[in-house]
Amino acid sequence: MRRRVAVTINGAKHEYEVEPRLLLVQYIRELAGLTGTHVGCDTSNCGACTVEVDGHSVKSCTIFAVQADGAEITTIEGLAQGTALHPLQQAFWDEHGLQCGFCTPGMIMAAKQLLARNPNPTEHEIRLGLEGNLCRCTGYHNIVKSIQAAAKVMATGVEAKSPASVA
Amino acid sequence: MAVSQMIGASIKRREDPALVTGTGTFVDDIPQTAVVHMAIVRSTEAHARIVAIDTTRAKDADGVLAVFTG
Repeated sequence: MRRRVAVTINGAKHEYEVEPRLLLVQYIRELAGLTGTHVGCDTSNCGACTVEVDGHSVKSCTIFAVQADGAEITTIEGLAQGTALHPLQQAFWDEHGLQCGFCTPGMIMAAKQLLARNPNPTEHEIRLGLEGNLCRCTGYHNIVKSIQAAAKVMATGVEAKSPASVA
Repeated sequence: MAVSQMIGASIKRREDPALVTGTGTFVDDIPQTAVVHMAIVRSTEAHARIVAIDTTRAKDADGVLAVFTG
């Protein structure tokens, strides 16, 4: 029996009738048409499908679309503000944090969640935080560097907005 | 940029803006139209001689385009 699933993805409302077995990642890619979220393994190992669901980072091939009914979802397409890249996107570009780019959306979404929990992580904490995301090109070193660089920029951004730091 | 300036320099990749914003187009991201699906039906017997395969009901099933045996 098909079920109606309504979600908000990157601020836009989506509503489709789906089979209860449909995975959230299929909903995002095939129904909402947002193919930036990738399916690397389909078995919750690789993390390429990582998105944000109600503020938590979730491997979207791990849950069914019906479980996300009513949720606020952010995907890689929702991070840039127009042409201005999110600090993580900019840092991955600047620090050569990608080669083929297939794992990158999942890496960035997982890193976003990591920095939300821990704005100034150590290298060890970054490597631990990304253990659910696999990259077959870069050997992780530049990914860690990218996240460290983004953390710095994001911390500075917060300081700049604080009135105390103006004085 | 002169060649002498390129040697040892870190060159910014031109393909990255699309890849970091989720707008790179991997093969799986290309929309498919008129897709046909295939299902394999295997024997229910572990060791038996196939005498005949009756495909009539399979061919008549809703949405079935073709049935192949062999």
